[in-house]
Amino acid sequence: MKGPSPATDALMWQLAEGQDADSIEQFCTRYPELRQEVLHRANMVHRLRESKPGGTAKPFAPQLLEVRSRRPIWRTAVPAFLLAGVAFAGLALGKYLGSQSPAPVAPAPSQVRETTTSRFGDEAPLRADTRRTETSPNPSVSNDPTRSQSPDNQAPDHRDTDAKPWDAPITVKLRGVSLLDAFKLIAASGHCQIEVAPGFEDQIVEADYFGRSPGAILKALAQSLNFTVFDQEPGHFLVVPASPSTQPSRQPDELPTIYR
Amino acid sequence: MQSLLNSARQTFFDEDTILIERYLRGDGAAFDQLYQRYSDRVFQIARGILPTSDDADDVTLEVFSSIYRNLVRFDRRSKFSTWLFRITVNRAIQHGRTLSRRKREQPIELASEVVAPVAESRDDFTDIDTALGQLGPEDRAVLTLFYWQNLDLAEVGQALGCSANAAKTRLFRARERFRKIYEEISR
Repeated sequence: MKGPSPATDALMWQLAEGQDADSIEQFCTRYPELRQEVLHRANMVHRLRESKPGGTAKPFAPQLLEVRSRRPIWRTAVPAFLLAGVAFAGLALGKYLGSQSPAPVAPAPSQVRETTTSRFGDEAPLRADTRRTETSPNPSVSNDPTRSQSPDNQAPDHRDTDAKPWDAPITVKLRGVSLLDAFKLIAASGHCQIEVAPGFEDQIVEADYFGRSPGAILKALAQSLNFTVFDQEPGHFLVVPASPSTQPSRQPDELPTIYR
Repeated sequence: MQSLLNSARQTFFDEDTILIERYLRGDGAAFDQLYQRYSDRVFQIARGILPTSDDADDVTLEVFSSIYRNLVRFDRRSKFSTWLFRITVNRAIQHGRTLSRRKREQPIELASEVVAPVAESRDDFTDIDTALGQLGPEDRAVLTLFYWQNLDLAEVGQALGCSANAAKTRLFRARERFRKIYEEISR
């Protein structure tokens, strides 16, 4: 089927868009074969126009845009950079100060590492001594009041940085405790290492020492309880059961007990 | 010669121009009036090009946000409404392309589950909505401007960035495509 000529087609669209009933009727009278087509187009255009949606746009809030758009970017960026710089400087200062102060030493007796080696070469803890130390009510340790810091959790006074920790005076109250427990206590509070030779006989200690160095305390104990103290190296003492002349020879399989 | 120059430099001084001047001098209420005047039409154009009212809402707000910031760039060689409609058509077509790209980029199983029925359809105009939905955004833009906004061909051309003759050709093609789809649906 041959369609209408371009001119007729354009006329039909014009009529459809004009929506004039009289003009459409005249066209249909002249071209009855195109009646259905022109009516169809007119109906389509009418429905297309009718289908225009209502305006339901959301309300506009330009004041929000104003705040965002008219604020120069540097007014946000500069404070942000300043804040970041302050935070970074604080972090760096904290790290620097942390690196200047040594890590705190925990001298609690329960943390004293005590090991002995059995005859089979196994390393085993001295449980009996440890329990006795933990449950013993009498011993008490305090640092010398002339020192300004506690050894537990405070940074050391930088005025004392030249003094060796094992030379620092301590105060030890030993009432009804065993000598081995006393060694642990002295080692812990004096930040030193005490090595007990094998075969050392334990004894009960009754003594108080105020403001004396661990070495001095050990030597005082040695005099009263008949054992000998050797300075092995700075902060490291060896105690043997008798005077140097009667020191027993160490058996090859017996190792000393070390209190730190 | 002088009249030729004058016509070349023709600027439009209408009520919109006065509102624009007031806004540029700091009167925020003038922009509210512009919005009240044109927001519905902008929404309708966007809705004609895009599948859902939500998308049209988004584009409407985008358009007015953009104009709020860039109204100083309006050179007054055309009517404000023409400039506004051109921005709207461009934004809506761009938005429609983004939606199509997102739809294409989704995995097949996800796309079949979620995104299949995208276009909104009103009960009274299901046939029209369906036919429009099968056209491309450029065709929908021409039909929307011509039949919904009742712009003449010169204005449609300005809104689309082409001449009146080119707009006529585009309208003819878009209308023919729409008619074929509409007739198939109506049978």
